[in-house]
Amino acid sequence: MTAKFAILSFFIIAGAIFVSIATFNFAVDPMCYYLCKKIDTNKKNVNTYYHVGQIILAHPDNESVMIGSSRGETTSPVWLQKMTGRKTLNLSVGGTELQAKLAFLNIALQNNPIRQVIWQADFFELIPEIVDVKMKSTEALRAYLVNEFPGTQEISLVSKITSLFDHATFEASIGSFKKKNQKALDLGSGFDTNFTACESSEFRSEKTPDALMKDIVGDYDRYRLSIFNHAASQKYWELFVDKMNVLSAKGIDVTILIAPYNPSFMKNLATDYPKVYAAHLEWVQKMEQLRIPHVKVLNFFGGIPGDDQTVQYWGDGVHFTCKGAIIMLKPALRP
Amino acid sequence: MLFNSYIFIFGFLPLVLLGYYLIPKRKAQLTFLLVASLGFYSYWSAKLVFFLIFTVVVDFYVARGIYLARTQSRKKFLLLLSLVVNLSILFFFKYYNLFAESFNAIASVLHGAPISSLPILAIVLPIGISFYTFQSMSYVIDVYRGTSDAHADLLSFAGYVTLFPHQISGPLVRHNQIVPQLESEQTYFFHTENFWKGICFFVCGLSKKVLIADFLSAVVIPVVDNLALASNAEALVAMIGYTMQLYFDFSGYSDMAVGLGLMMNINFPQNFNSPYKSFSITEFWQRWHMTLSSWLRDYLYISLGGNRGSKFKTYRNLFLTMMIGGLWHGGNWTYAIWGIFHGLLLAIERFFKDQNLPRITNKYFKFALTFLLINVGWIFFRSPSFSIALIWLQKVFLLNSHLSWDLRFVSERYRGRFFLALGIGSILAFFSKNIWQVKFRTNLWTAAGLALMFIICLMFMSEDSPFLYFQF
Repeated sequence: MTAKFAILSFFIIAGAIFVSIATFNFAVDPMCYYLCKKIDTNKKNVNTYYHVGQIILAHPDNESVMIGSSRGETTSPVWLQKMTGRKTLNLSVGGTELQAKLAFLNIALQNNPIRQVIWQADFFELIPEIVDVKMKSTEALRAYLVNEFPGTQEISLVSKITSLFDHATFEASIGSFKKKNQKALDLGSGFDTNFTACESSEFRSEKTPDALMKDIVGDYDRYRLSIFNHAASQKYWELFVDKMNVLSAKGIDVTILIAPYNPSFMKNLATDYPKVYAAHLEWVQKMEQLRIPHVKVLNFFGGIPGDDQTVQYWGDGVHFTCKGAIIMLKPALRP
Repeated sequence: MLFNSYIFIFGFLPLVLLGYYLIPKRKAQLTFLLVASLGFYSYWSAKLVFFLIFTVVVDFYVARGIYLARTQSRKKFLLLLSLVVNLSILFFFKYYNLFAESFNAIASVLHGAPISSLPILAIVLPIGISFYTFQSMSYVIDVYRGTSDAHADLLSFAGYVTLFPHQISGPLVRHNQIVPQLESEQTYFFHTENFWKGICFFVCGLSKKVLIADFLSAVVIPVVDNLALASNAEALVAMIGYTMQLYFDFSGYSDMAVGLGLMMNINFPQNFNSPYKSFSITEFWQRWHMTLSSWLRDYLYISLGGNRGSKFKTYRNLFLTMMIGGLWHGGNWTYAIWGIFHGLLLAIERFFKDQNLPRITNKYFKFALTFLLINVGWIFFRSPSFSIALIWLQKVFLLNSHLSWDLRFVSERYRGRFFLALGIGSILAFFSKNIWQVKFRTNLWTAAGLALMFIICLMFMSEDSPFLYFQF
């Protein structure tokens, strides 16, 4: 074979592999980026946000939702149901900020007879830069985003094309054929949590104290690089307040939970980033000053009552355990 | 623009290759290449490209002045002018803050209270400044020494210094290797064998970077950032991980640069020759970043007197050369310590050789000891400060009070990939032929293998991942 033929072979084979992978990913569409025009409960996928939409549609009789980020994922929807006396879905999912939270809320409002909303509030939900590419790329969810706001621009054609042969999409395509990756359309995050154990005084997460300490450092690093370097958006705040007013006007009860960070995380934040810490305090103050009928604010930013800073209350630097969640929410939800 | 980016692979490179081969005349082709290279640099910073152009123009005319000068004193004056101009720019951008911090620290100690006499500036380092400054300066020195004539054509010289494959991170090529190629008509004709070889080099380099170095980096970074809390196992994993990451990152870049050169029918010198197979630190420096080593030897070590004086002076020159070579990497004392560490080791090896003292004969022990010392050196090189380097060393050598063996900073998401990359990297580094020793056959299997590797690299290229040597 001559060098000329080898060069041609290289380009032809590379092109063929490239097209095959892109076609495979497009046909499987594991993230629902290309072929899912609307939310379909039968569509197999591994897109956590699309899955939230599927859960909402799978429970048309649902009356209450918990909306949150990964920090809300430890709260059991079964326990919430027990406390509120209403069928409750926990729609908390990692990475969600205001736009995603509102999108989930809008889907629920359009498809469920919602009477109660538990809003697990995060400071970072007001940062447009962290709107997840998954949210922006999923056409069926984009319809629920408030598009005129920053951070929600549709992803570029180049990004769409590159996502077709990205390893993550390919791994998701392969993974979508595995049964274990197909999540059930149950009551959402925390469905499997044993809330009786969480309520017990003996409760401990599976983490060791050393591991907790390291995870706090790891979280702090992550936040330092992706969250503390961005400013909260006033527009997003106004969007949030508008939505609370809309819910109030509909007579829907809203409970806003402001949860703290782990105390040592908080201490580092206050020391290393005083401006960001001050912005957090300002946000908490504004939340507390909300005077909207049917809207109740639970401010635990100063700490969870009884918090011993151990694995009893903390999974890492920002995620409280199910015990922490119960302690914060129980007094407000008790029927 | 990174070599491992879609915009480079699918945009810049095809356009440059098309233009390069479709434009008819040599002069026009070279002009096109120069414009493309300046465009490549401007992608990083349109403003800082002027420093690159300034360096080229100053050194070209200074070298010509030296060549035409009739007196030795005028030659010397012009050489000094070039050195002062080049080194002042380099010093300001790269070392001013180190100087200011050190000055303020000493002043504070003397004064007994914190003083900030010199301000710390937010300086944006022109990318590749150490490389292009050294390349340009070496030309002036060669003309001064009379080992080279001055080049007649500014275009060829500018083409050499700015040539985009080596512009940012080397190899540190010499003008007498590249300028004659740029001036030869033959260079500008499409050469299928070289183009094929160029593809092989480029794809192998890309794979080293994307599939090994980047997989290792995802684990090394969080551990090094949190060494105070890292376990002994993590410290050890990070040390070996970084040793491999640096090699595959930098040699990957060099291979890609060589490949790009070959695609344009331009030959670059070898920069790495399986350095981790070395049996001594002396051998390591004959195999690691060979173009920098030879530059330091020719322009620094020899200028200091080399081995022409007493034995003590030879050891001193080795030591100084390595210390300056260390500082060349950046404005942090840890680089100087790394250089001093290697300088000391080189001097000790030389001393043992000179005195004919008994040396280690077991080759496995020699190999293991050399590799261990290289690893220790990289700890200083990678650490942000001397104190962090000491913590790292303590943990690696189990000298800390509370031994622990967990791998919590090694994210589970990246753990599998990390150990796979470390395993494959170790096999390639210790047991395989390096890319310069491989004969790339022109058969279907080689083409298919390279095509598959290329596509896998593209699949993992979604995030920006600059090369480690870009910061130098």
